[in-house]
Amino acid sequence: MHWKPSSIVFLAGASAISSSCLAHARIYISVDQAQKILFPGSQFTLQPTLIDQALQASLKKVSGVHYPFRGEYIWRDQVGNYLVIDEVVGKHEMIRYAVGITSTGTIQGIEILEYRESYGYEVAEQQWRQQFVGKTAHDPLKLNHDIQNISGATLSSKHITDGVKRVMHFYQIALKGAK
Amino acid sequence: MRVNQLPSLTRCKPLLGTYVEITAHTDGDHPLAYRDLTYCIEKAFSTIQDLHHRFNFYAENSELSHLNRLAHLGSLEISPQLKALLLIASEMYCHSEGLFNCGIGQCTLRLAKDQVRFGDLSDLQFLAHDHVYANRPLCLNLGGIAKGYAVDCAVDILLKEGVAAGCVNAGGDLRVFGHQAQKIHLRMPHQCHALIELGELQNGAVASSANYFFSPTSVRTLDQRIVHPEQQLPSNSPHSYSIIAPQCVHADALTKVLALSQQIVHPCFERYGAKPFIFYHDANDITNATLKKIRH
Repeated sequence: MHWKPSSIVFLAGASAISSSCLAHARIYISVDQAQKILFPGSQFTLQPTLIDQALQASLKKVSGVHYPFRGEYIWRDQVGNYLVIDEVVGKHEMIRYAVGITSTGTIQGIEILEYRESYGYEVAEQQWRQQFVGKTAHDPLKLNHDIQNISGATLSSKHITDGVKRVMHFYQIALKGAK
Repeated sequence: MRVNQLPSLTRCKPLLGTYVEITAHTDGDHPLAYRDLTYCIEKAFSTIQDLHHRFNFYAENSELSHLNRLAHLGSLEISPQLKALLLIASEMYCHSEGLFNCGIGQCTLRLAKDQVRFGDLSDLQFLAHDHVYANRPLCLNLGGIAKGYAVDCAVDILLKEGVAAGCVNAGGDLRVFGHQAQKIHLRMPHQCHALIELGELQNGAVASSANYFFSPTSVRTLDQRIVHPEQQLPSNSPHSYSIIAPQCVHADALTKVLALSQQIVHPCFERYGAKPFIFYHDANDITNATLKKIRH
């Protein structure tokens, strides 16, 4: 192991905040890559589905997820496997993810496509934003795409669990058995 | 050539109750094809998924739940994976003088303290042929060490498959590997969207504990906080505790020792080659993002 501490570790006070950056975003893989990882060799075609009010209410009741489910990002292959793209929005993050569902209705896998931190948070929390004005270089709310390795307290993935529950309920009602 | 300029692939999956991110870089001398990187990462994810199922405290059918139910009734055979983790946990329990203690599961389940007298790691006996026996009923929760162990196992898989460099990050507990140092950022206490650059690390791990994603009133997050083994109460500390160590399993477990002891000179750290950091935050001044004091 070799460890070289940043100068910030030796300093306190104002230098700490001027050396910090605010939030980050990361795109992991594309929808096309997710298809290849989850169902190698399959050819998918886009199959958008209309979500009416009754279905939307049912999805909300089952999963507890309040924001509406969007039915335009659904792909199906020749044997009835599905790839459904959904988003979860938490207090701290927005996550776009893919759920692969086999033709027998089991989950083939879940892949996170995009992770975006402080989504909407910086706008909602005016006080939080104000304290950084003028203290950081150039754009205080610019999302940093270059941050690679972040340590910190664990962010729960419960939102994804709820989201997958909603996607699977949607599959049972709207997709299972469809030609 | 810098690590982040090499061809690479990063994938992320919800595992271990958090988001697990795996980055794998190829090497200029022995380049792995994109499909090989996909395969290597998939294999590492499969290992983590297996450990997730084995060590899940909240799943009735996990191997850990099986152990908690049956170990006090007679000799019980356990898997090599669970045995390896329990041996590490027991060793750290001894060297930390009981500060690192997995025997706090009853607190996370909110069972009345006096209802059942549960034992802890000191009650667990390791017998021959991967068998264990507990002197008292157990309610072990491996949440304070399992993520770090899973990260180490995933890194071992990636190295074995020929991945030149990379990082496995399980919700903030991470390990980097390869012949180039990588920058490490840390979330600031009470400013969880603000990151500071902690330094550059090569072939090592970082783990952190803090309460900034936890709400004191939230039922969902109460069970994720550090529990003091003697007081049996969750920590409400506003500070952030980080450990840098060669192995992620040690870094993960030692953050609990640091948070509970509040001592950066605990003998346990030297034993595991660990460097502790406490990022203090004045709880009475939450709106001030300035770090009040930094020690290492």
